[in-house]
Amino acid sequence: MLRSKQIVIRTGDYRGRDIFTGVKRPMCTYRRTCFFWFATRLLLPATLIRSAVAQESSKRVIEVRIENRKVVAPNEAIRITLGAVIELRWTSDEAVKLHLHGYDIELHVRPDEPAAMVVEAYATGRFPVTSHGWEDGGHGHDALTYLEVYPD
Amino acid sequence: MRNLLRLALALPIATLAVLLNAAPAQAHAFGARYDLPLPLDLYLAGAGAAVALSFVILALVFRSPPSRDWRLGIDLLRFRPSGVLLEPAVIAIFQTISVGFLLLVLAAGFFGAQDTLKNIAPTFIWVIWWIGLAYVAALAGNVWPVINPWSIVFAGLEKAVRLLTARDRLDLGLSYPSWLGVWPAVALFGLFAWFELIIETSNVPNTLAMAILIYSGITWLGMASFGREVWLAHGEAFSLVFAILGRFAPIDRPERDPSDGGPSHWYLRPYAGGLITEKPFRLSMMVFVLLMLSTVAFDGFKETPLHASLLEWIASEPLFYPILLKLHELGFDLIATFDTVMLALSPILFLLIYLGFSWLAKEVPDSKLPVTEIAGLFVLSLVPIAIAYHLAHYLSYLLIAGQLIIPLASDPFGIGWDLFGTAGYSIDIGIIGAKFMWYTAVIAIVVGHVFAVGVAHFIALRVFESPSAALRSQYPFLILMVAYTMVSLWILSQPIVGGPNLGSLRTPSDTVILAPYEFQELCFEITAQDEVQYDFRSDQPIEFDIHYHDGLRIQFPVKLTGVSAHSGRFVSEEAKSYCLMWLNKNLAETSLTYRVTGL
Repeated sequence: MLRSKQIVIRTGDYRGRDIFTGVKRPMCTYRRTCFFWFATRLLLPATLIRSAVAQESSKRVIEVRIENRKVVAPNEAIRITLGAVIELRWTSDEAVKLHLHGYDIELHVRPDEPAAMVVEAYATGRFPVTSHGWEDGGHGHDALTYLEVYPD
Repeated sequence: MRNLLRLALALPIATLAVLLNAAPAQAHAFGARYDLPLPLDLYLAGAGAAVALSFVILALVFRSPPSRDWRLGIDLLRFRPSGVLLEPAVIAIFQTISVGFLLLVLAAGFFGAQDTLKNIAPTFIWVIWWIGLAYVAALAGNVWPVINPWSIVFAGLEKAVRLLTARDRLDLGLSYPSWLGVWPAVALFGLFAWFELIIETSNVPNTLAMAILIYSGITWLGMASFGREVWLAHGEAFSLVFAILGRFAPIDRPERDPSDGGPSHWYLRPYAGGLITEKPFRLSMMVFVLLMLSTVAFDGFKETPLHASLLEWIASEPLFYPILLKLHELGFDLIATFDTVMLALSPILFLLIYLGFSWLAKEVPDSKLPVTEIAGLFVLSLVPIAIAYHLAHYLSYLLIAGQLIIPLASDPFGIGWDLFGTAGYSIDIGIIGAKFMWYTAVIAIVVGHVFAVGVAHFIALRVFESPSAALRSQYPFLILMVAYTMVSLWILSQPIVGGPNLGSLRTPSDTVILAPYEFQELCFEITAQDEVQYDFRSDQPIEFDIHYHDGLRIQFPVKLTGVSAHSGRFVSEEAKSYCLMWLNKNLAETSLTYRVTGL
């Protein structure tokens, strides 16, 4: 079923429920929190924990296309492995503000003008990409797609 | 007293009314989980190990029931570190801190910033207290009777009354009706689960603080009516929850509440020793345990793609359309309503399945025991599976979302303080890797399953007439436990999805004022044989049509004149852009309310 673009569906305000904002620095920043950071790493076997520092590798480019407020390519979640550095190159037929949760990267995409976000995959997980606003103010927090970072 | 009673009754009803209109939650009460689904090979390995180990346990035939006293005879009070920790003076400090936290959460909730992430109340309640304390209760020991702030405050007041007045007790001393069992706790826990899992605003500091205040009021009212101990045993839901989890823990709960003075004893016992019941649980207690298990399972199920597609199916099924429309008209949030129904049905489903297997456990060895007694005896044997699933499900959540407490400790009200210099801490989403999570989850679930089978087997040896009857009674329960473990593993192997994408439930609807000869048009593209439902009403008769552009001509599959209320459905012949249009041909303005479903 095609959902028409002209129909403006307004949903409620984004309540900030997808929480992890401010995750720019993976390492501890303050002396007190460094204790916590090191303590958790000492307690868990080192082989099972990945360093927060992304490994050096060539940057892979993944094209993502949005049409009619849906990601049409790739069809499934974007799958990468830990340590990879990728560039997500977005194109959209409508202006949209994207938010990659967890890694907390925001990107403004203009219609039919590619825009890129670079992700250094330092943490495993399944991270939703949601829109934080369409052109006409329509607002939704359904996931457009997911970025899945797998252990290697 | 009467005013207090009226207030205590009015408050829940008032908030219930407010909350019923609240929007649905997409995930767990608060915060996001970024867990990767369990890979298929690990899922199969876990399931296989669970089945194989079950037979290993049954093959090791225990000839005699284990000793009645599970304690290892190690009184923790006699040892240095634990002995000091359990000194009355030290416990008094813990209790003061606990009451302090309750006040802090209430103050932050009511007066702090109303941003979920900037206020300590949501993180403290949902992550640290609810998830964290459950871990402590299940893995170390149930500390809740010692730090329960409602109990501490009431006991303190009682002590003050005793000192200052001639009265011996604070409560009214009403006798607690025996038929009531733990039903009050069942009802309160059900409401709590609903608030946690379905009400989106449960992570809004204000709402959360209000809910805590109401619960405090109910708890103190119950204590004032029937006495503190009686209410803790029958009505205070969290005392029951943590006590059930604490039965798995290796530290036995104290004989007496240490706040009453006098040394209490804390004994060590093997894990799950406390789950081997001596007396069958009453029906209400059994329902409480099953309610705990079913809400934990529902919490996981809610995030699976199956849940999303189930809701999408209901939304697209024409059979349900009139009901959905009616509910929508009445102002119900449809997703929240579905989830509420499912949450309410899940313990009933659990109970029916469990009673069915209990009946089999009676029939297979041809026991003389009534089914209710067998059910009441074995219900706790399912708890290790639930605990294992809970640990697996929430480990990363606790370790990632739990980090929020670091910045919040410095700035609990979200008003720019930096008490400990940690206000700027940003959390690390890479604190544990997926591999660690997966292995922990599978190992926890298999170990939990083994404990469950073992506990049931020990109970059977005590209850049934002969070891062979005990063994035969275990076959049905074994099937149940394997199935339950599989469901737990299956949920973990599902990718976490947000709320369902309820296209059909998103109904463009609006009320507009149309000036004379003003029109309102709603256009959409649909595929062939797609169905769109619509209904509208207006103050005055208006023109309505459904049209599409065929080259330069306009075709009208539907055209009505002078209607003031209408509802219908439209099936498209081919894929194209159609428009619904309303036109006001009156000389005065008219108000139009319309709704379109199926887009």
